Amino acid sequence: MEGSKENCVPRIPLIPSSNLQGPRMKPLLHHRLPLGNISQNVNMPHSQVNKLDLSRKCTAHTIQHHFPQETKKQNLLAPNPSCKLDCDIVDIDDDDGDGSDDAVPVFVKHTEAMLDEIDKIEEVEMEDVEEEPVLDIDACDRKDPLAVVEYIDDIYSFYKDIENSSCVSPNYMTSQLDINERMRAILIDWLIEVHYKFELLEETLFLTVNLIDRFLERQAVIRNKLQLVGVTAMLIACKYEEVTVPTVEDFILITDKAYTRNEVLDMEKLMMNILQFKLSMPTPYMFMRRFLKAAHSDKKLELLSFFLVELCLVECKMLKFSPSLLAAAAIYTAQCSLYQFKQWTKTTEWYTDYSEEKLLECSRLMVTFHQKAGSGKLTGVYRKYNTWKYGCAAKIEPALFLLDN
Amino acid sequence: MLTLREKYYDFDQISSKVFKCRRDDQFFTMKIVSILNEENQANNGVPYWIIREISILKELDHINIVRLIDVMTDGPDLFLVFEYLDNEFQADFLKNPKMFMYPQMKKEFLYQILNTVAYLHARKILLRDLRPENILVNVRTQVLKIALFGAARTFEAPLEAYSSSVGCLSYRSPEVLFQFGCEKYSTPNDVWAVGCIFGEMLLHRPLFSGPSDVELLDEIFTLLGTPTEETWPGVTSICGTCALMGPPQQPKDLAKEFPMLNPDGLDLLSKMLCLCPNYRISAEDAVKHPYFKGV
Repeated sequence: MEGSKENCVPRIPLIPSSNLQGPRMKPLLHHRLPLGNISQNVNMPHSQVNKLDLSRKCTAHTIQHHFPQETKKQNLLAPNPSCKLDCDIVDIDDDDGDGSDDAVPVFVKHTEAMLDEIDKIEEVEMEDVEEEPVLDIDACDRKDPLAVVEYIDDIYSFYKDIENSSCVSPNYMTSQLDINERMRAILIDWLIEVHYKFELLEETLFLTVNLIDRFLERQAVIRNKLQLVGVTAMLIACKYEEVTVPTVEDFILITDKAYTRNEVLDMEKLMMNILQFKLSMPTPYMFMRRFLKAAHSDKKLELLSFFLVELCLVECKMLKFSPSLLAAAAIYTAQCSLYQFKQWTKTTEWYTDYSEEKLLECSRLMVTFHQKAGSGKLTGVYRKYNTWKYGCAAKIEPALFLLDN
Repeated sequence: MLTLREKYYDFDQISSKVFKCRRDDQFFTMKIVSILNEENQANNGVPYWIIREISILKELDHINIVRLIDVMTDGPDLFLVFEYLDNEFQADFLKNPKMFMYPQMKKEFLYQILNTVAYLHARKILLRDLRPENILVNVRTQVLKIALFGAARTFEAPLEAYSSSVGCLSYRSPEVLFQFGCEKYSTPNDVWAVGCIFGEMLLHRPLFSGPSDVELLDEIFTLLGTPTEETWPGVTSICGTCALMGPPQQPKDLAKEFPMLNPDGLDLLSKMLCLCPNYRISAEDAVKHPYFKGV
């Protein structure tokens, strides 16, 4: 995994963490191996080696996982032991040509220092393999005021505390007489395209959808005013999030002049009254930023995660999941899609506060949306993420294996 | 939904746009904001700063922040209903002559300001326009309240680039002054403003008062010295041109400039007025500073 630091396990550089193992991958090392036998035991499939980033020196701090969960994170930070590799890794590419599926071994070429050590302590057994450490993802940002490290835990615990107040009932549409879930989906799919056309900030889109749902939960709307609700919600979200705000005229034009200026401004007042100006609500975007950092994401993972979470915006049934769960599940599903095996490190679990198990229901739904994203009538998200600007993330194969178990 | 007149009564005008009113034997302050005004000729609806101010105030509950109780719209106007502050609360708190009677009072008010800023930062809010005019105090009860959040906004981490033409010039941090409109500013800017207010409390005059960005920077460097790569890593790339920094100047001795301050006070002031935002003390740490022992 590009940019990952989770492979920095002290003294045994080649052990991947347990959750890096694919469905059929055998454990690579037994506990308490004699030091002298390492070279005989480090055989692993060649493809698996490529999934591990062994080139990085691990400079991040770690959180020792045996501490109780409720202890404040700051108290758990401990320096990570040096992770310099004691050996050089040499890939042997010459296949024996028999066409067998046997794993190509990775030979360990011992350095002089290592040979000395083996000579001295041939019979000394290794200590138990340490559990995968939790990295302090903010360690390198302590001196950067833009990272607001001293407040980051407070900020995200505040988000977690209030996120339920921003949620709506997943079946609120049943109280609407003239509109339904399908119409909502069409509206949001269209707004995703408008958002793309106006080149707005990502958070503006998430806030727009949040405002629409919270408004529609409280206010009955006739179908020919639904698009008006959508553009007005985006106007309000722009005023809250953007530095440069599109004008009312821009939004009228994008609806092909379906509404007048007064209709937009009256709807704005109505929405603000109904929502009581409560716009500081946590959305999946807010959690995505933090959780992607915990996942040590690269651009590919980030784009795929956002593709998956935006697919969820269109789906009414996804309203049953909290914003933080949606964000975590999107990253988990994206990792599974990219690496084609289950991937959820202790670090991501720690910072998201979700175990792999808690994410599976949401994640499986995301896989089904990913699977049918390019087909059907609502393909706004798919087309957006099929562009070079968004890394053609929509073309990445879905993690279908998540649907099997 | 109840109308304005059904909800509130006994309106008593305080100023052109501010009224005192009642509801259930409780007093409130009502501020009227016109949605369509001279600055909003294009009529883009509710101004963005009002949307930000109200949504921010809606989620805050702190003794040192003027609490927003209710919001109502009526025609072209917005009615903001705030907690009522009696006549003992004086706006522009540094103009209050009683402010300077006791050194302990200054310390108490500084502590309350820092405590409020730390609270806001922990709720992902940048104040951006902290100045004495926006601070009200009740000298008798020694309670301070911060009002008018017109230039406040929430931030996400990592912070985006926001407009830097905000805040009163005298309280603007050097990193914002350097950037001329493209600064990614953060929480240290608010701490700088508190440092300027602290200095003003002590000197009974604005600490820096240059009429333009360049002259203000010159005043800052006259007191605190010209930054170097040692004191502010990356400063030369930030300012782009050395002409902005003027001739190199040595920092003045703060103990001579502020003889009324004890060593702890001098230490806190110097940490709040640290030129490099990366090294500037956070509001959270400032509240725990030894200077406030006994507050």
